[in-house]
Amino acid sequence: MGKGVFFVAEQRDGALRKVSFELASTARKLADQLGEEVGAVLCGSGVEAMAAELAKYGADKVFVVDNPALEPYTTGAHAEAVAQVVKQNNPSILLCAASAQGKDLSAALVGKLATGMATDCTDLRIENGRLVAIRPMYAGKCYGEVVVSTDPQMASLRPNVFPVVENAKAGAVLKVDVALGEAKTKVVEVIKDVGGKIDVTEANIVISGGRGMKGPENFVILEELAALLGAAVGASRAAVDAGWRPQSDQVGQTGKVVSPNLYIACGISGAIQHLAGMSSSKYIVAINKDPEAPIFQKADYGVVDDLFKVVPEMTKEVKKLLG
Amino acid sequence: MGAVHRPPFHGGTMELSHFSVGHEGREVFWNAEHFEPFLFLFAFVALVIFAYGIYRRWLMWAAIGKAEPEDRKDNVKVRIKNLLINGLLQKKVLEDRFPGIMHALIFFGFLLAFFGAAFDASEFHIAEPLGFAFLTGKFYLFFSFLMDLAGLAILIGVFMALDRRYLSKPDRLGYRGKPDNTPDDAIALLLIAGIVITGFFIEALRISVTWKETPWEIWSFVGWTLASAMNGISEPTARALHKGLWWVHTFIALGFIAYIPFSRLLHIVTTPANYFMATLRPTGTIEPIRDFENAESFGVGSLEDFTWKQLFDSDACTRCGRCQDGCPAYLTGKPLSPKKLIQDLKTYWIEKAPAAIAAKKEELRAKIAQGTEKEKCQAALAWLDKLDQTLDKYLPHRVEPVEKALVGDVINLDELWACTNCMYCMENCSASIEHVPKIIGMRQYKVLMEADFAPELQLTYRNMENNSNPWGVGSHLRGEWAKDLGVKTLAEDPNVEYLFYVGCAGSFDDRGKKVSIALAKILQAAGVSFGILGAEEGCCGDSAMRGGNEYLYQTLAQTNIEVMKGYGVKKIITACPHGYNALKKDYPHFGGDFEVYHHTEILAKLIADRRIKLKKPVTEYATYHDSCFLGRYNNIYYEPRRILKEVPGLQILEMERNFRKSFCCGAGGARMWMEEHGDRINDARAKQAIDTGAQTIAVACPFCLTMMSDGLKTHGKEETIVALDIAEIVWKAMGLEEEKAPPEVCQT
Repeated sequence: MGKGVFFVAEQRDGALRKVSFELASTARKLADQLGEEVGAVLCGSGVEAMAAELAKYGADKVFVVDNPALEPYTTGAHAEAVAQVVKQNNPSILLCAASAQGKDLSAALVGKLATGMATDCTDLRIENGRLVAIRPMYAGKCYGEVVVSTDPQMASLRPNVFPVVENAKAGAVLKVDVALGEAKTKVVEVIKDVGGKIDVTEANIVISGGRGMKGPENFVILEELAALLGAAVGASRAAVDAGWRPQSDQVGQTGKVVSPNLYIACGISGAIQHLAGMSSSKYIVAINKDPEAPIFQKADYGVVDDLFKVVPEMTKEVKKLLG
Repeated sequence: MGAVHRPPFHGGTMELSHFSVGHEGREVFWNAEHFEPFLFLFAFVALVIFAYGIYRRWLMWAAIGKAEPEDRKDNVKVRIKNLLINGLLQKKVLEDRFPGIMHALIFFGFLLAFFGAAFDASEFHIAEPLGFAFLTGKFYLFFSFLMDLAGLAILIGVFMALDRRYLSKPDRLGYRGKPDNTPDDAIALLLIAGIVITGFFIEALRISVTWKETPWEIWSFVGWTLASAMNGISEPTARALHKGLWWVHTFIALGFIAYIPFSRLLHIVTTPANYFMATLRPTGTIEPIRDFENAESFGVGSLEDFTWKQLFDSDACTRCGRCQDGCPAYLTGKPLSPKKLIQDLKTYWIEKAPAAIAAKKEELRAKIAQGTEKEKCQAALAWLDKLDQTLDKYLPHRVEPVEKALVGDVINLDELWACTNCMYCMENCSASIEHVPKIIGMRQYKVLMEADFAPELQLTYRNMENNSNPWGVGSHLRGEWAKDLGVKTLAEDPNVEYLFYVGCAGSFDDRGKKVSIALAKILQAAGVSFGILGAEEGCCGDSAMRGGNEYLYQTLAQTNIEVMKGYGVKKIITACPHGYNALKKDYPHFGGDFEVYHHTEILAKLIADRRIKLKKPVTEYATYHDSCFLGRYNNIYYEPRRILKEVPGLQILEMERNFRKSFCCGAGGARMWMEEHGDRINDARAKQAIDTGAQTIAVACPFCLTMMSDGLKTHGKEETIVALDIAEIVWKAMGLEEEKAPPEVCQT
């Protein structure tokens, strides 16, 4: 069995993604329980400067694989690079993110390392020296506890679930040269979504407006708050039917199903058809002047008041908090 | 005109001179002697052509299509009764006033004229030679009058038809404002008119010659009147015209008979056949997919996957368009039209038939070659084959069919998925065509074989799979609505008379829960013994079945049946017509045999038995929206209305489209779970309700409740008009509970 809790950091467009800090913090916690070290694996081109940030969140060592062939991301190159680092250093645990890129990478890694993996975990702990992963099963109907019996024990973490904890460590940078071989795939073009708007299904925070918004022009107050919070603006079917918002913004049974960290429902009654589209949100806040509105049964926090009073107030407070 | 020398008749006693006042009669074949053998020759030819035409059509009926799960020939007595009532007495056709009368005039007129001709023939060939003429005296006078009346009726009918198709042009005789007339439509009507008009003129010409000797012919009032107008015609001219017109009349009439199998007139054969073969199963039953284990294909993916009866329906269709006139999808601008669906299938069937028939003949030839069929068959087949091939050279050439996708090219996806399964088409079809099973069959193929269906439905099915309800709410919460009511589950006490099957809407939808609570309280107040399944209850699966996901439906159904049987459930009450229909008509296919009642049936009985009293007024004007699955599917129209009439001070304002012609709310056929573009069906129906001036829309279905409530919001009427379930109205009217004051909103 190896030693060390490693994780694969994710970076894009010259910056580390938030999930890398979640991975670092989790790896740190596990390493402390095992009395081992945390190693970060950072692959890319011109990424050495990012190593310091990983140290802030608990990385004892940062293995930097700096190679032009690693930018932009391709499955083959990154999997090969990480696999070689892992094989050379023999950690006991290897963590990835269950993000789009992380899922792609970890699938290839599992093959290269001939080991097992618990996917999309929402919690991790150490028991009798082995990693125990907790993961939702059957569309969230229940949770399963998984122990990987092979080494290194791999697990992928569901983004936005694990806390980010600052715990500055040495973060010693170790540059690694990896023989990548012939590239099997080549990225020809990266087409970015020009919208500029965050898609409701991808956003961390969604602020939705319903019939209570009374008109398309009033959605600006939601958009203002959303801009501050980095949120996406959604709509209930009533608002879309009335032509106030486009269909792509519709959240519900016949629209999009979203599961953000925070869902703020403004002027939405919360009929079951809407709930079907957002009930798996982590936290639900409802603002509605009707105290009988069904959404209050589902909301974690509810404000029974006129949204045209509440939302601007919220925006003012958020501005103050953000400084 | 004096007495003219007439050549003696050949052997018979029916000479003109034979008749007199008191012994009235007519000389059959007057002025047409020696025509008789020719008449029979041409009649024979016409019949042969007719028979051949039917034979060719029969080849098409037999060429494509699977076996029918229902025996369409059993229960002969019942089927013949249906045939007589609908065919002979024209019951279904007469349900629509103008076209009904129009067709009845032509139909009954023709029937009379046909019997008239038969009477004449039997008089001439049988009665007379044997010496007991019956077409004489007073009977003859009555007969003459009736025949002219029949001819007149036919003419009036034909003119009504010509006006309707070419002048009034109702939308139903077309598609979206474009008439779908074919030359055949005009030919058929003109042939009929031709027969009658030439007939009258022949009669008139005869009367113009013989009237002095046959004054009683005034009873043939049309002919007599025409004859008077022909005052100036000399007898030789009249006789010559008579002879000529006689032949014209003969050819038109015989041509008509020969034309039948090759034209729209084929409905004379196919529509009555459809009445006979109409399903005797409970209304709206859908044949389940029986053998999931071994079947290689599910549903209808190509024309060959339909049963022969499903295809035959297309030949019984006369394009009358009644189905289209009430189809909620069509009326809100969707491309679906039941008439167009049936006709598109017919066109495709005709395209595919030649190849299929050729293949079947090959099969038969192969069987003969192997010696498994009789030699006689071989000879007949060879001869018919030769005939078919010879004629095919002259008949309009059929183009080689292009391989089209049944769903996609022939029927497009928007048409297929727009159907709400409301059954307006089937209920009002005057030819007993079964539209809905075809749609479900095609959906089954899309869902089970191609997994090609709307993403919203994917979510719905997944939720039903995981949590046994379309919204995906945790299934353990199913009995929560009854928490504080003291309602026991069957697990706690299985010794109850009724299982109250709540259904998904009643269990999880906040609006629906209010209905369940109201019903539970009523039943408790009335002392009805009932229990619920709580978390052990599962989704009935109706939306899955009608959305084509037969597999999911059967899984849900079988689970429910097992649980219910485990508790020894005998009687079930449900507040949802979809659950009601599934439990009552579809579950028996899987061994679920229960006595199922809709809550309006129970409530109506409780009120009639005075076990509950309605004493408080609830609303002054209410309109009742007939739920499709309660009304057309299960014939429950009067119970909800009887209940409403018992509410003090309540007056029912009926919508125009009610009872069997009710307009769907738009939620059936799995459409509740799908996005709808363009004009919304529920908005259209809500408008109809609002237009009655009612303050309350009474419904008896959770889908209708949702749809009508939404519709009220669309029209901005949610403050002034309210949609309520019958159970809620009854509970309010019972006045046993004080209305809760709305909670104080804290002002900070």
